[in-house]
Amino acid sequence: MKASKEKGSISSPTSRRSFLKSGVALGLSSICGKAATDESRRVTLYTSMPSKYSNPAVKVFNDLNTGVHVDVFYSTTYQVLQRVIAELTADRLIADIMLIADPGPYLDLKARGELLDYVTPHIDMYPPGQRDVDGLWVNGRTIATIFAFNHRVLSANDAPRSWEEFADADWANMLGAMDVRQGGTAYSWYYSTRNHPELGVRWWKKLAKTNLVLTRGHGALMDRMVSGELPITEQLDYYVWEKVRNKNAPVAAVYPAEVIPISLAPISILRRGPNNEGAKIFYDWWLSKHGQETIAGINGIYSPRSDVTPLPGKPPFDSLNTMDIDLTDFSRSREALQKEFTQIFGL
Amino acid sequence: MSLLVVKNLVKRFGSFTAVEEITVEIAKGEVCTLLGPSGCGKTTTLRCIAGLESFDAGSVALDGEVLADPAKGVFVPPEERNLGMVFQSYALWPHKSVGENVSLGLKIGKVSAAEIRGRVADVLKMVGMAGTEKRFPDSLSGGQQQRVSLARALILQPACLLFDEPLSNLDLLLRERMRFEIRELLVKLGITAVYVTHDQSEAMVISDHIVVMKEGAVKQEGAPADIYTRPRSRFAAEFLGRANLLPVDRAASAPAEGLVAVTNGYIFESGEAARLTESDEAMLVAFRPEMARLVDADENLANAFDAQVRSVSFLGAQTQLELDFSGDDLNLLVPGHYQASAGDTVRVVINAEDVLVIVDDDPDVQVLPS
Amino acid sequence: MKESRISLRWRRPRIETLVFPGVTILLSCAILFPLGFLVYGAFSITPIGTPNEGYTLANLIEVLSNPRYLQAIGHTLITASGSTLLASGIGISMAYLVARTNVPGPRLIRMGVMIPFFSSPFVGALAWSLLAQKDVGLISIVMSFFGLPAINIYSVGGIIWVQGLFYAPYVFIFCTSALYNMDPSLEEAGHMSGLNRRQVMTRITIPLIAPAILSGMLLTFVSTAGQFGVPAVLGTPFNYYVITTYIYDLTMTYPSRFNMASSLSFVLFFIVALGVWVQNRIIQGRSYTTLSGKGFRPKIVDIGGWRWVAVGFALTFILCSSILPLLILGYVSVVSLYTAEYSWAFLTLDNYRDLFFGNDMNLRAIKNTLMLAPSAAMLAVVLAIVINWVTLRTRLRYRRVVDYLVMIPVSVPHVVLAIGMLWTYIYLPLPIYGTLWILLIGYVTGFIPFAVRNVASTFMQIDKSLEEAATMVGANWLRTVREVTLPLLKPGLVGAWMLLFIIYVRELTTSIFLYSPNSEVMAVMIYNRWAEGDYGPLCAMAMAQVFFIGAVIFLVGYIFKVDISRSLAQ
Repeated sequence: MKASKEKGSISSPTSRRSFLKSGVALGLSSICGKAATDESRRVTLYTSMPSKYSNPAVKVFNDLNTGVHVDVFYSTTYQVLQRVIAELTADRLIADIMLIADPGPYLDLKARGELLDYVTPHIDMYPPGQRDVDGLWVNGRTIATIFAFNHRVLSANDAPRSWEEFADADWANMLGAMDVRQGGTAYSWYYSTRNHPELGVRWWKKLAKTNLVLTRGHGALMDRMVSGELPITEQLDYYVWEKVRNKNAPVAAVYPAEVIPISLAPISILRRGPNNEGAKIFYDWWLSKHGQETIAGINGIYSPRSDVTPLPGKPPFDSLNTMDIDLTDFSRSREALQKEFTQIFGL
Repeated sequence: MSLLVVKNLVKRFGSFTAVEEITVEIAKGEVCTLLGPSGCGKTTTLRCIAGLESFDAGSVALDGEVLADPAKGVFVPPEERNLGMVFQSYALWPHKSVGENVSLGLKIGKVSAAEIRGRVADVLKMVGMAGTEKRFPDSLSGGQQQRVSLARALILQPACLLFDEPLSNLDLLLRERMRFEIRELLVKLGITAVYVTHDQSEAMVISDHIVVMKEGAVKQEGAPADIYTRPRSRFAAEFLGRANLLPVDRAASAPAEGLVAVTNGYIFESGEAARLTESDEAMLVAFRPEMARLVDADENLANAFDAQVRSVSFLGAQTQLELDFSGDDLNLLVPGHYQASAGDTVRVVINAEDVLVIVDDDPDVQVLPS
Repeated sequence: MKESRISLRWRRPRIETLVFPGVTILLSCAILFPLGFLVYGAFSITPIGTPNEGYTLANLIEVLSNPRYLQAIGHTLITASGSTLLASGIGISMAYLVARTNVPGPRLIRMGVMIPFFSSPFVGALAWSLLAQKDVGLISIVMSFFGLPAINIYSVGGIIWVQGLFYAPYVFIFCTSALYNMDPSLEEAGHMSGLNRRQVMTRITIPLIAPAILSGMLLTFVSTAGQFGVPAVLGTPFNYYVITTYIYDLTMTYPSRFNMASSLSFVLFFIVALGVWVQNRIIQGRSYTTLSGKGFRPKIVDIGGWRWVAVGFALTFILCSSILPLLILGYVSVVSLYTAEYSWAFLTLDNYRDLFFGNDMNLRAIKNTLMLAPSAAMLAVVLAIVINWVTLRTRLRYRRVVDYLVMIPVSVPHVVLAIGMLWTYIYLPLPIYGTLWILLIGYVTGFIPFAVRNVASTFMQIDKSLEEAATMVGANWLRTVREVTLPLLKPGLVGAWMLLFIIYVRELTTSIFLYSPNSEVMAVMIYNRWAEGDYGPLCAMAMAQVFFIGAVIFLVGYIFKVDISRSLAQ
């Protein structure tokens, strides 16, 4: 087992002895004894990408036998960030690569000199706006925020078609969304709609009156939509697509007319990470055509690369009514907007 | 030369002083008993000797070697002191058989299995428990358990054996038999022992030497008979048996002429009258119930006086009389069956050498025959 | 000769002179450093990890004046009291039925009531969120079939309901052991004095077991006030925050407000410490000697036809707390989609295949859990032995300090302790952070009071002279412990180990703050699956967790003949 490297798991004589004594060894001692993966081959990815997606992608990479083995730490966007910041503060970084669905922190980290000064050879495949001006981070996947409904509960004719209709009082107690404070995509949703000329704060106040259920993640929302408990929820487009393809879930995606909020999920190498050289190999793979096709193939997520075509059933990215985001403003207004959101919802 | 020397031992628990400057010396082959009521510090002293307690000042030395002396920073751990101990609760390990209980010390000392087997059998035979190696403590009676406990202490042939009220959990008959057996064994093997008990008759049988303790201090020490017949304080007198106690009237006494007056007006002739001059403390006249005799009413001897019978109890070999002696209570034991009834007047006589003059070390308590 | 012996001793110090202070110092550090970080955080102007710019009371004032924080504090008090009342109602009545009435099958009921303890409240909340899902869940379907309004499990009532169900065993255990251990002659004396059955109950029985009941209730209150999993699953979806979930959000949103989290932790610490203090007062003031532990055969009351009502009540409880949750978890774990259509078509073993073969992270989590839980339980028990030796068997001057010190984690909610530990071990320049060691240390630190108390109760039953007797035949401390203490403590130790094992397998709060890549554990995987929204694998993992706990209880209980509920009561 990989966990049992020398700095890692419990393999010292004392705990081993007590452990064996406990009588529940179940042959686990053999685990402790196995040869550990060489430190120079080990790369650690900290990501908010759900492990059901990140794991298969990383597995494809690990199976390529590049000489680098990637381990994944999954948590929600800001938990990952908190961890990275805590580790940086104490100067004992475990993370080599950070991949979270919020570009804001990358701006901060770059300003603090924490991003590795490394430009991937694939940089030209990523248009400006999809990467750092100096190329220290690159958008690793593009997430579109839409909403979806359960078509067993609601017919397509009845279902809302725009954000405006989404917030209608008719849907009171049927709506769900992710808590804007909990994740990058949710914040992006707030940022885009709140700054949209037709929606704005008015729309959010209207939405707050529907008893919108706020959750910590889109997954829980999806489960409760599939079961019919919350028939209409704010969603990430690839989530919906993946549920329909893989599990034939009774849900349908709606790409609202007003705006499709876009979240960048940048990837970048942390300068003080333990294995910069190994990290580059994984980083380059992730941004390569093969990497991007692998990721898109797992869950239908949009790739920022124009040479990776969306999977069947997904509208072409160009056809989406997206809004350009000024990342600096996006990042700077975060605290104020989160506070505004808190006040609107009385949290 | 003394084998075990306890010198000026002081033991405090927080602000409470359990043992205050006790000094005891025990000769080789001697059985010394620490006797006293519960809370007198006897068990604490024993545990300090054993090393189960540390103490605050003084020293304990065995055969010339200092075992513990806080002033010098010496403390030999109990397991290295070469002492054996028999506990009040037997302290047999319930999960070990008799054989395992007895042999643990040898096993720790890395004695060969064959030798262990032989020595266990020998020692069990010695305590009258031969052939019980395979049994477990909970299948033994209290007396048997105490024998095993003794065997466990004996098998290591310690320099000195410590007994902590070993018989107090047994019933009376067994207790009386065991004390003779223990005494016999100790004498036969020539073992030096410190024995703690609150039972004076046990102490009398077991000991060569008794140390009477009270409130952490030694009140008196000496041979059993000595302490019984010549107690020096009210505490020692009462603790070792019954005693008639009469408060001394110093003003009316004439120590120089051997005369000691008591508060009811009677004046005793006493061999110890001189003791009145030795201290200013409250004093008592004391004599044991069996030391007085009853004589015919008209006999006029020294230390003869009349008293009224309050009650008579026939005890078999003796008769016990409760008397009223000019307002003071007296208790007498006379041989055989003495016939008298309440209200009778009897004449009591007592030899001058049996009239003791002792310190009243508990003057607040009203004097009553014990 | 004399001198040589003394100098010899200097060269070879006794093992306990190293072990006792060593263990004491290590434990003190493990407990006090994390708290130190929290104190610092609560009063510091700048967050931990940034340069210090002085101290302030502003954080604490903010927490105690801002209505949002006050609301969270209020919510904590409401849910904790509500859960305590519900748990007590169930626990006390069940205990009375089982211990004192002729209800049929008391042993089976007793076992059934205990089951919720072996799954976790967090998993229970997940199960109930599935059961009571609007229009979909089994309960909702049954309710609507009878024309009853649907239950909204995402409510204060829902939180109280689930916590009440899952903490009822705590009160139950305290009460049954008190009832079993009460000398029946005390009640008989009441009857002889002319009291009728009701008067005996209210004047004698209840006052006598009141300390035990109150202890159980306060334990429940303290535990539910520190609960994270249940309010996270059932409260946050309708924006209902309690202190623990609020603290979690304060630390886990961006930018994090760690100073506020520390201050809020103080409030929770205060509430919990107050509860513990009250409990200690009650136990100290009223420890009746009647509770002798002798195990009397109590007087059984014939409740006639009510027996069957009682059985119905017991079965309903067992249904709600164990059978239904396990059924729904089991069902969801073997279907591809959880929808209102209960259909064979969805049946699949994919989730289990995924659990054991599809995803090495899952497998690793299982392995880590199965490695951590037994070793942490073992370590905690070993430390508890040493600590109890120091406090009960020695006169070391610092033993009273140790006694208080090891009890501190009782009054520190684990959310709070975990944050402090994260910072402590990130800063500590030892290979602890980012490994399984941090979880091991976290588990041991968080539950050391539990281990110490549990071991102490068996320790006190061993006569000190048994150990001294070993010393007197030449055994040193280690040998004494090995030859005498351990064998005698064995049943109690196995019981304590089992309890800790169960707790550690379930442990979520500490784990979620301290885990790293490669040190995932099952509870965290369950939580993450929930956050990611993956009912199938989530339920498969939860079923695996229940299975491992059940297997260990069964096997260890069978091998060592240990009744877990006895250990639990101590």
